[in-house]
Amino acid sequence: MEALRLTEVGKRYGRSGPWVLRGVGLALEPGALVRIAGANGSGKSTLLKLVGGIEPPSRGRLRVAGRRAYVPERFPPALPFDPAGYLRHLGRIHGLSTAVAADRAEFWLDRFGITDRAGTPLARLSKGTCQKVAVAQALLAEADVLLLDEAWTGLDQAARTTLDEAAMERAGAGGVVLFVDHDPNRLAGLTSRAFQLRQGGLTEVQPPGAEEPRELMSVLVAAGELPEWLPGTPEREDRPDGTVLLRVAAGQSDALLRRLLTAPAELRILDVSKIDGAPVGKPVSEPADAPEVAR
Amino acid sequence: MSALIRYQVELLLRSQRWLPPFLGYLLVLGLGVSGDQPMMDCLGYAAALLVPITAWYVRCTLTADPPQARACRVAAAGPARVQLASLAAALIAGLVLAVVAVAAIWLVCGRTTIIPGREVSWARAALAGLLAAVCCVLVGLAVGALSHRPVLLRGSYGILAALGLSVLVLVVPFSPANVAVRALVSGSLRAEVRYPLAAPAVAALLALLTAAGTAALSRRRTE
Repeated sequence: MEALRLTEVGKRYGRSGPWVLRGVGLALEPGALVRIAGANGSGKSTLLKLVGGIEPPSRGRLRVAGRRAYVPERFPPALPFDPAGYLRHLGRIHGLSTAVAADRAEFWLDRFGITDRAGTPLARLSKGTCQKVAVAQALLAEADVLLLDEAWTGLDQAARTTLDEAAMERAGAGGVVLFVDHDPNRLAGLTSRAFQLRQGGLTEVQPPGAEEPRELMSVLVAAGELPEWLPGTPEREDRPDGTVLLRVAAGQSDALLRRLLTAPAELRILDVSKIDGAPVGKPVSEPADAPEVAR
Repeated sequence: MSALIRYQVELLLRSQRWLPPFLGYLLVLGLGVSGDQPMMDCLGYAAALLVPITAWYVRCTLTADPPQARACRVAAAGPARVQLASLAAALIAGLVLAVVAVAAIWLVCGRTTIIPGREVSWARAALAGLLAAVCCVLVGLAVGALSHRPVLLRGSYGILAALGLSVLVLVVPFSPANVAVRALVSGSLRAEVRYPLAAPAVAALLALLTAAGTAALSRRRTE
């Protein structure tokens, strides 16, 4: 099952413009958290716009399954709305009912801590607050494909962390997240795949943080059937007693647990524990301090 | 789709961009309409003016939000629907103006035809005027859609193209706008009310085709 596939995609602006992207191929599974890297002007934003359906490809084929949400790099405050009103509108445009759109708008305003400015016109808000609205607009859609074009720029530290978490949650819930950011450590260790754009071509590279020894968590689950895919691509070990042991990077254990807890199939989490030492250690027998599920 | 149209209409109202075309229309209408003018001629004048005014509204709704905000909507709903919603909002604005103009002329004018002493039914004249106005709004919608994104990408040429096309559709014989306006003016000369129903039908078809064409084009056109 593929969430997104680009085949030999090329893009240039205008009939005689230079090729910004050439022969780009990309296939992503649901749950992928993908970093697109590259120098300024290497076509990162163009690639995101193609995936978002904002720009059509000049060549090649592009197939994206499901709903899409996009966060532009700079969000203009020249809109005659207040954050709450704008988010409600965008929620409905994303296909939500009026009630759900209003609920989620409120939720994200609260999560970014700008509930007190929900009624202030966008034109009177600071750049960072506007950016929060732009991010919230995309997150409230709970879209299948989330595109973040340097969405972290201009956000304060707390909001950056919130966006990090939200991106992981989205990937954890089965969405595809494509992001561009100039901080090389953005979501390091959590990124499932990374790509580099150079001279219009896209090549896969090692995701940042992958080479470091990862801290692993083990999750013991009693389940007849596990969800089709799991965040963090955990290592899976079927025990003879019918339980399944999953080993996953510590940073993604929250997303994994969230996925397990919200899975439609009936399953029970028996144990969550930290594995000492790098790669594939033996699971620690003593129970964990407190499972990080109660959020 | 209705969510997009609501957004566009609210954006048009809140950004006050509805105001310049509205005031412009009122001003030019005020120059030609007065109590001693025959109602049917005034209705023809009001309808003809709606062609460039509706094209202006199309320009307003197509350029209503900044490119980045538009990109968010396009990602959510697709370029074709965003284009159609812009046109729908302009259509609504044009139709509101048509109703307002017909009502105002009905109230202001003291007689119906240009021939002294020969009157026609006020209601029938108003209905013919409304028909012509709707017809011109639909033609204006097509004119506006053809002079802006995604057909003409350079905004600065859009105004010239819209004005040129507006004049063209009003003077070319057999154009629905021309037929509708002429029916009113000649009806006034002969003191009879005619309903040239083919004109609004052709205008509606024209508007539909333009909307569908530009929506299809918006999927393939780089901005």
